[in-house]
Amino acid sequence: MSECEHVRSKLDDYIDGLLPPLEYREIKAHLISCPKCNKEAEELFFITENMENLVVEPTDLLKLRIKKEIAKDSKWRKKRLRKYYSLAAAIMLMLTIAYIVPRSIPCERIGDDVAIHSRGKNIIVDGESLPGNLTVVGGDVYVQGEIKGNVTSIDGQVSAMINKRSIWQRLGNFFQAIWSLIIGGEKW
Amino acid sequence: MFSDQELVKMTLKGNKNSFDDIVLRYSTKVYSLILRMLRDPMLAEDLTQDTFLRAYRSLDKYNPAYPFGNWILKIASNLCIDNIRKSKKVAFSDSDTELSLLTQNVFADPQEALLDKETSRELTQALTVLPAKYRLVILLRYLEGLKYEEIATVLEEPLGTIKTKLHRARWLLKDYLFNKKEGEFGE
Repeated sequence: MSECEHVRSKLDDYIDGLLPPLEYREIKAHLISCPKCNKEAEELFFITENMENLVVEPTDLLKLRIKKEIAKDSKWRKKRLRKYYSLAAAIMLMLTIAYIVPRSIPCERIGDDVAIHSRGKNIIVDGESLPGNLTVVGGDVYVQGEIKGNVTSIDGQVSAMINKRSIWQRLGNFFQAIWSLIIGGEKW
Repeated sequence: MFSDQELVKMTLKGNKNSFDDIVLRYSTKVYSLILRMLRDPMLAEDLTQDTFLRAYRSLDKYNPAYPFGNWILKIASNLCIDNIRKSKKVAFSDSDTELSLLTQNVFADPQEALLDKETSRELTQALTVLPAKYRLVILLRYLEGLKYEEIATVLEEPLGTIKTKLHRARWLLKDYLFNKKEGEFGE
C-alpha cells in the first residue's frame, strides 16, 4: 500500500479526530506535503463542517400543535387509567369479600368430635384447638391449629382443623397473605 | 434546569408541563433529521408530532441509563425508515430548493450568508441522491452529533456496519459534490 493509499484509508478517523496523537501528526504531515491527499481531506472536511448548517428550526405552530396533541393524549390516558384502576379496585373488593366471608363447611358435631362432609378444596382453618376426633369425608382440609383426638379421612386429604374465625381474623390473615406475597415470603 | 431524566420522571408522575419542556428541547433535532431524511416539510411536521406522541406513550419503557436524545432520535429514525419503506421511493420534490434555504445561520455579512445558502443547497441536493441507509447514518453523525457507538445503538446495527456506511456516505457525497459521479449512487 502506497503512503497516499494508507493516508486515505485513515482520513475518516482523521476527520473525526479518532486517531492517536502520533498517527494524527503523521497524517497531517503527509497532507501538508501531498496536495492530492490534502484536496481529498479538504473535500471531506467541507461536507462534515457544513452538515450542521442543515439544522432546521420547526415553526412555533408545530411546537404548539405537538403540545396540544400531548395534552389531548394525556387526558385520554388518564381516563383509560381511571378505568383500569376502577376495574382493579372492583376485582380486589370481590376477592376480599370472597376471602373474608366465612365459607360454609358442612360439618357435624357430636360431643367433642367433628365430622366434615366437604367436597371443597382449600378449607383453611387456624387458631383453635379441637378436643375430640376429626373425620373428613371428601375434600381437602388444611390444619393450622391443634387436633387432640384422632383424624380419619375418607376420600379426602386432611391437613387442617375447623374453627370459626372472626371477620377480623380473616381480614388479618388476608392482608398477612398479601404481605407474604409482596415480600416473597411463604406461599399461601 | 432539569435534566432529561428528571423531566421524564416528572411527566410519569403526572406533570404534563414537563413533557412540553422535552418537546422544546428536542423538536429541532427531531424535525431536522426527519426533514433531511424525507425532504417533505409537511410530512416532516406530521412525523415530528408522531415521534413525540410515541415517545410520550411509551415513556414508561424509556431506560434512563440511555440518553433521552438518542432514544427519541431512535423513534424518529424508525418512523423515517418505515415511511421510506412504505413509499418505496421518495420523490425529489420541488420543495428541495426551498428546503435548502431553510437554514438557521444568521450572518452579518450578506456575502457569507449567500455562500452558506449556496453550500447548504448543494449539500441538500447531494443528500437527496444518497441512498437512505447512508443518508440516515451521516445525518445522525454530523447533523445530530452522535458518536459511532451511539449510532450503532440507535439503529441497532453492529459498529463495523455503521463505520462502513459512514465511510461510504462520506465518499459518495464527496464524489457527488466535487466530481459529480452520480452514477455510483443507488438505493
